[in-house]
Amino acid sequence: MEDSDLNLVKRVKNGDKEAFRILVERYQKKVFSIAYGMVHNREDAMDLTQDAFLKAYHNLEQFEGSSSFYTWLYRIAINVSIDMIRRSGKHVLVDYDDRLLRDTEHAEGGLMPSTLGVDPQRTYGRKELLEQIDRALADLSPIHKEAILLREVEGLSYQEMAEVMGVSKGTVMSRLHHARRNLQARLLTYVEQKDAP
Amino acid sequence: MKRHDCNKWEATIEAMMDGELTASERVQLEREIAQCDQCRARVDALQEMGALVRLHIQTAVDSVPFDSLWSRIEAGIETQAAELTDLQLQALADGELKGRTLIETTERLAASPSARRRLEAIAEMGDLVRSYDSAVVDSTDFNPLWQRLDRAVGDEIEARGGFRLAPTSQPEPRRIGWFDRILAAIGGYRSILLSAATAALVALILVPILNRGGDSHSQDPGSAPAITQGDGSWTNPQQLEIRVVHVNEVVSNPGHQVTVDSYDGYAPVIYIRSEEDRQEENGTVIPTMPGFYPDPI
Repeated sequence: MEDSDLNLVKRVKNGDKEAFRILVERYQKKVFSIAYGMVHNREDAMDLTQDAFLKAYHNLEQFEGSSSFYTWLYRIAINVSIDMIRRSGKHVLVDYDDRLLRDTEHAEGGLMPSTLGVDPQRTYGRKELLEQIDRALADLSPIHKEAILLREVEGLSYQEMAEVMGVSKGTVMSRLHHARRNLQARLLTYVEQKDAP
Repeated sequence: MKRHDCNKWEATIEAMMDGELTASERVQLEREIAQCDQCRARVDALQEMGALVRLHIQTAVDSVPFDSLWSRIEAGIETQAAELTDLQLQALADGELKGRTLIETTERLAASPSARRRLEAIAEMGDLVRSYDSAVVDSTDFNPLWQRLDRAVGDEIEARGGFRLAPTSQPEPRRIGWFDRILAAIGGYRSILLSAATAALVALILVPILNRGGDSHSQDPGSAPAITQGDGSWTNPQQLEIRVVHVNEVVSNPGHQVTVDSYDGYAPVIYIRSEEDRQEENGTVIPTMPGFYPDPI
């Protein structure tokens, strides 16, 4: 029977490094996914994955088990990723005020009916699609990337997202909605640019 | 028939796609959007975008080898284990480490002269801060604080019918007992909380004074009073009405004047007023009297 996360954490706290190896193998792809989604570079994402696990190991005494181990681990992964983004200076870490965005977005209408729907006859190759989604994701603010990744990739519930992001469920819903709108708007922009004669 | 509003259902559609609706809410939503092409298109758009993001991330995950990750992490653990970080040393100095971490950190500290030097620096900095803080506290004059508190109590007493001593030409204050005074105060207050706080403050001031009853000096209200001090006496030049005055200690306090008030004819309150407050006071100001400090609260 597979050891639970909490049991493995307990073993690590008692000095069992093998238990930490099991935790690494259980979550390495999840942590890499978050890191890659945040920084869009495989090598950087792998370094960040290593950093996140090292930080988790050295701070395990602070994990008290009141939340899930993976939500705690994801928070660390996001923090190290944001640190790297900050150091690189590629993004301005603006905490978007969703209330301000809401007004302008409602004026434009609701969520657009189709992600790539400007020309239904247009077909996209897999590589082209991935390039577009990569560019669109890269343009999002870190907090919107975080929301998209935790929901769409990690499949967390709103409550779990609230724990990771350190905000209320209402804020999670708001950020997720605006993140989706921004992502869709960027995808459409790229499609339109691509289709322009 | 009620008109369908797509925007109204937008957030609910997202919640449904995210698995956040109950079964009954989901049924209701599906019924609502069944007749709306735009809402159904939104559902498709959400599914499509989510799938694209997952495909993008999964492609990256599939393209990197994870075989070496554990060995890198293990090496990192050992490398970091060789040198204690400043945060770990700080936690050790602050007594925040427990269990296995405390044992490991202590062992690593024993093996690391540089870590011991850094720990000593952290501890030394703490000692310096504490000694500086202690010196500041020791050199601080808390008399102004006491004056403010004392004045506040006096104002409250006056506001509730108490009085400050006045020259004998002024009317004799009404003599009532403590119990009556307290009852009158409580009955007249708008705020019970303020009453309680005031009573507590008055008690804090008066009880120590009353407890020194053995040293008290009483005088008839109409006589020319004198305040007897431990190191001499001072005669009231303005013929103040003073019934009982207890003097704990005399503190030389240039720049301040002293007003002596009697409360209720039995329990004296000694006010110490700063010079700048002098003009604002209705009470009698005694110009040459050194400061009399009741016991600190």
